[in-house]
Amino acid sequence: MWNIREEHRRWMVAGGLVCFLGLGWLKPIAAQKKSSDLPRNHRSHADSNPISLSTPDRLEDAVWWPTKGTAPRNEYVGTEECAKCHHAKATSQTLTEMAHASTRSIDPALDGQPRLDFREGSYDYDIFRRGDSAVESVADGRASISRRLLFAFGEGLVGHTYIYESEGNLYESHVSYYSAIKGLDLTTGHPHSQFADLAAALGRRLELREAQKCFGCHTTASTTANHFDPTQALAGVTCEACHGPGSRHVLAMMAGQVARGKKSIFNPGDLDSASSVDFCGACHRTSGDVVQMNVGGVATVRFQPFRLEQSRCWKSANEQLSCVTCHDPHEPLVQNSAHYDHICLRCHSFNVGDGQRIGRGQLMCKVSKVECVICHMPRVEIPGMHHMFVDHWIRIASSNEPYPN
Amino acid sequence: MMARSRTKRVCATVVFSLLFLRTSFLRAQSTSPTSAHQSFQADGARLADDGRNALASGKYVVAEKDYNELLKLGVHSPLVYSNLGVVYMRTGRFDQAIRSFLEAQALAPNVPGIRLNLGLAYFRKHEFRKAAWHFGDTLAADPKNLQARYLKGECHFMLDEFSDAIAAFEPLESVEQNDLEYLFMLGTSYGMLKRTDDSLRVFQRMVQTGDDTPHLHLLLGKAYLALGQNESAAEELKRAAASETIPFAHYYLGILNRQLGHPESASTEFEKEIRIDPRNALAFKELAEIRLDQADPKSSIAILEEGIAHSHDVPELYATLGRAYIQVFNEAKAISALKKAIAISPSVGSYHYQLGRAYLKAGRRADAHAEMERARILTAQAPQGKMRAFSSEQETESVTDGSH
Repeated sequence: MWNIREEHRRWMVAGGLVCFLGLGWLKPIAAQKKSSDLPRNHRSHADSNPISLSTPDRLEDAVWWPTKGTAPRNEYVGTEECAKCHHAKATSQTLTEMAHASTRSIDPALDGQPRLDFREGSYDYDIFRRGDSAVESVADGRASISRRLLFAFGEGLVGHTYIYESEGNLYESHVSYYSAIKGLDLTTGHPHSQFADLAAALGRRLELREAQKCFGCHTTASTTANHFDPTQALAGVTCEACHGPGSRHVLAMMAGQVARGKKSIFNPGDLDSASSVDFCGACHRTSGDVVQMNVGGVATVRFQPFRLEQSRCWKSANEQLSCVTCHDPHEPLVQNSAHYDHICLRCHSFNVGDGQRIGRGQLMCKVSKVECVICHMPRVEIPGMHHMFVDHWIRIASSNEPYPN
Repeated sequence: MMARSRTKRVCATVVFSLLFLRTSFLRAQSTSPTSAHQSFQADGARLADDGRNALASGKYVVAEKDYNELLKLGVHSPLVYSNLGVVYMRTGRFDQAIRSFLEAQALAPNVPGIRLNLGLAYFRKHEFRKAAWHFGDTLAADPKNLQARYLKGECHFMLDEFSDAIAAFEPLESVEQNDLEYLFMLGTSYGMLKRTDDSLRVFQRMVQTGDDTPHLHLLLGKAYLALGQNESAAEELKRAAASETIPFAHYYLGILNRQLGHPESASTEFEKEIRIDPRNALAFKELAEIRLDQADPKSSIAILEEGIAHSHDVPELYATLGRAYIQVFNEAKAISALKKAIAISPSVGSYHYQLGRAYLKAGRRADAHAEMERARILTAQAPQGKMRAFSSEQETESVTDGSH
């Protein structure tokens, strides 16, 4: 006689076995600890089809998410406090590109040069030191104006765009520094133009919402208690930009309340792969963001999470692939393409003729087993940016193919 | 407004003679001239006459019935399909209109009027890429077709393709120099490409033509808003709004205030807009979005329900309603609202994305994934232009189509 309980038990055993065998194929570089504190971003490994959401939706749903500006300023403790216990990670994180996503310092802003200049039409642009500040000026042969720079946005791999303040408004400089040419050129998206006045020639005013978004990703704690205040912002992406403000965690841990302490800090390593990619996408743009932004074309190559999510690898990796599979957010970006080979080869290890595939073994590349990313993640230039961006849509790319949307 | 002036302009409509239809009957029946066939032929001719008269007098139900009867009789002529397409256009069924026009075009590929109508159907569906292609096709066959040229320019403008818009618009400058909407699009296109002198010249022409009317100030305000000249935009829009009668002046002031981060001022402007024109669905949508931003989804839902009561066929209202229902954890209503948005505008990626999100919240993961994938594909195929936000009032008006 058919026994529903027995049938149920068999399925449970079979399910458990499948889960057990399915785990552990690819361990991300970043720790994948289990915890129970923030379960709403989790889902079962049994679910296939990772789903990306837009950042506004994530912000709406999550207790903590990068750029979330609900916590009060006094809940942020600063990297030094984190380093007291997490010394190695806090120290190496300060060396990362994200940590230098913006700077108030003069030397990085000027890339160590005493002065940067550029001529565009009838305008002469200069960026130079004045006392302990960097200043941008523009002149048209009859008059000139200058503004003290507040921030240089961008860690320098591509370049820097400068931010200044005038009459209570924030402005994006009309010229940016590009590392590839070691000099200034027009900021991406800014027009070649004859301007109404010198103030317009110097830079573009940022609307409040736009400024809030820029600062949200390039600095830490620029919006707190739902109030945008760039003067209070910490330059760059610090520990608390990803893990959330740390004061409750510090207090609990200092009081020996370990369980409470762990619950009161966000660990992105606990996220499932789709959420993990969306987490990075809070600044680097998720698939959901791209849909909501309604953009296409080569400009999307800068949106690495979106591009990764178009990859067959991503769709078939069954939760085993995310940004942190290749990139450790606590370590500087590795530029050596061979460094990533072993990650590709973890799955692409099956030769034709080896017989039946085992587990998730995928076909090995017939051409090469080294520097996979050079062919399968081709570099793409965005016009005017003087930089070749790695396309994170992992694929068999042919040399003359159009940029895939 | 532009659509009305466009209506007054000569449309490049192609007139098929009834003889064409009769000829096709005769051709079809020539091999069997029996009395039954003569009766059939007479029925067909009568239905064609009736359909044409019904279409001309706006009796679209009758016209649709007549043309469908003709199709049942086996009269698959370009005229029948084309006029049936016009019936669908005038009753807002653009997908059916497109199918009819495509049938007509397959039977008569070289008739510019059918291509133009096909372009118009896509234009009304806000599928500007396809519309531009068909208007271009019409122009290639008939370079003097002013309406096709104008609409091609407008499509490129909507797609933020300002060079192409200017290329289409410039040859019309002598004939359209008093058309404010035309000047607005041309001047703004110049401005977007930083052709400041040309832009100023066109805006000065607008000022000369516009006679200090609220409509002129509205268009100038929109142009400045699009070009990011917020102070000038505010000044012009306030002058337009001072009349308290012209639609969309308060709406764009609301948009400006939202951009500047002043949600309360924006709310006030949208509320004023709704008092002037309760059928301005976009004002309801903006107001509802502000309430969503303020974490007040219940107010947002009430605003959207009111908006839908006035305008039941605006997809943006249903899409925002879906988002609001997601926030109050009513996934069933969210799914229903978002499906309505998609039924009206199936090719908007963000509607599919939101539906996917609603499915996800409802635990329907496979459905969610399918919708998200659809959203991605649609966005990759057809990203929308920024200028659509500055052309809201045009989109709510009708565009002249050509019946034959």
